[in-house]
Amino acid sequence: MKPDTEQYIDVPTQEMLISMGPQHPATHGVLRLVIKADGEIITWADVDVGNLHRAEEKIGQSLKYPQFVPYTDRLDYLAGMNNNLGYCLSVEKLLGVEVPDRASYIRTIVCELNRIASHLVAFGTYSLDLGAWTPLLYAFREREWILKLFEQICGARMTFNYIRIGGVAADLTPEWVADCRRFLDEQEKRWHEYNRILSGNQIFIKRTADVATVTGPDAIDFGWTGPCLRASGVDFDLRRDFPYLVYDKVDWDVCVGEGLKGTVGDCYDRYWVRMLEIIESVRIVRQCLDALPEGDIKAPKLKKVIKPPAGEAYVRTENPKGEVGYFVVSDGSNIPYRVRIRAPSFNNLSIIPKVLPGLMVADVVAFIGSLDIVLGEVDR
Amino acid sequence: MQPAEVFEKLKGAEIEGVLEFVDGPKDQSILVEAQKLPAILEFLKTDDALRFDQLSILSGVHYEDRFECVYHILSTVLHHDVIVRVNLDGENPAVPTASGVYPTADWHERETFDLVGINFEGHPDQRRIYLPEGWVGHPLRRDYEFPEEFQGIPLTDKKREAWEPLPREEKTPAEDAKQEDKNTEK
Repeated sequence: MKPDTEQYIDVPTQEMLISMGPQHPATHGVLRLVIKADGEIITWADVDVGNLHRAEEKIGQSLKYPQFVPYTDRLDYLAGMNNNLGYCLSVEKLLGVEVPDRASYIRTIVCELNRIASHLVAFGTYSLDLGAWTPLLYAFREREWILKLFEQICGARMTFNYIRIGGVAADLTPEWVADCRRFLDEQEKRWHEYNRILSGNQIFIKRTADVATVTGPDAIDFGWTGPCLRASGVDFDLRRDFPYLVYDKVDWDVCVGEGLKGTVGDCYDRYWVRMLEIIESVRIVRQCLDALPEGDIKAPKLKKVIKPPAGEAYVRTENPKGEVGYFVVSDGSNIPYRVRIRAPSFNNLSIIPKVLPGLMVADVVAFIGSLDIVLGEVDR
Repeated sequence: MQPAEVFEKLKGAEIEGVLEFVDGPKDQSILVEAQKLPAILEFLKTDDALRFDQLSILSGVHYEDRFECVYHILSTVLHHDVIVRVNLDGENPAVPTASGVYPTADWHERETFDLVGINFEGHPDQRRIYLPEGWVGHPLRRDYEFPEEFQGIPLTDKKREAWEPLPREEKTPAEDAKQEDKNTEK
């Protein structure tokens, strides 16, 4: 709900130019916002990105195909597995390689675990943005367990390089599977703790419900994908509508915002869709663990020297933040001709000049937190 | 709807500027005339049977003698996607902006202008998005040379050897087989 500005018209005020960031704890990285405010009401806003620009696309076209996989971890560093996957699927499409069933199941499992971890960070840091400390500690308790699970299979906690072209780097052990099941049971129980501590909190609801509402058509126009798009009431999920991996073999639901505490597409909806997706991810992982087939974890006929035939490929995947896609162009040599990366946070952020005018200054933090951006993939 | 059907539909509706259907080995796309691009995208977005309402990604690619702009668009309602591409002049690449049709193209075009150096005619605010104002050149062009300094700040370390990009090997199949043997012996 936009505040009623009419009543302030007679008060003589002066516009103030505020530079928010790049070193600001609520911008989730090095994002700089330039805001013109008339008293407490924002009249104009612009975004300045690029402070974390590391020329990922230039690196992509200078290194051999497998060498670029570790760099994709550094894009959305909260969901490294999902980024590995997007790149590998595109290169596999170019190569025409069939990935074994077991590898596909393992990929689904680690990607969904990573989605839970990413949504937990979103939950924790969002509460922190709005002034609540404790939920962050709850969220990081479970995230730590997921990171330990990842550490067991690939040795790294955040920069995995686990999903490789043609399969995955290492197999899952029965002990790992048992530990993962214990985690899922525990996660489902503790999910209710999050709701008791934050979701029903009156202060939290007042800060988020009816704040910075984005309608469905606007969300689609500005390239929103993922939980943000679904929170605006658009029933669209790449895992269901453009199926990849084994998502069409498991039973799960797409979570769509319904305006639980306010209007459809407000900050609370974006928060709540993420919370629901945690439970859906738990469901998916559990079914995948049950159905995990035996077999190879890497495509057996894949050559060591990866040299795809000339052509181009783009595969859409659903990251925790939205659609991630790698547009890879090959000229037939061992180095990609062009790697173009679609990052969801970049698109989610581009709506800011349209949404912010009319909001209160304090709502900027509530809005940006609800987008759950990661500057690593905005700036690339 | 498959890309080929979308192409037939465009041809059937007698939209100007639709050139040909590019049947690539992996992704199929529709090649259109650069100047007619906004009108074609508008049709793809508004037609009831197509409804491509979201632009996923806009990529600029520099080939040796020409530029290419690739638009991946999809429909969140009908759950299908298509690729539209335009060929651009190698000397002075320019294409009308798509930000009037898809607002998300605004930032994508700024990025493509910044890194690849394609001009988008009629863009509301075409300036660099990542690199600082005053940067010379566009890094993703094939003939780009890394500058030695930027506004008086040295960017290369003269004591160190300059970093050379890896060579693009185009080995013969026989050499490939040899390499394979080496790998398997280990």
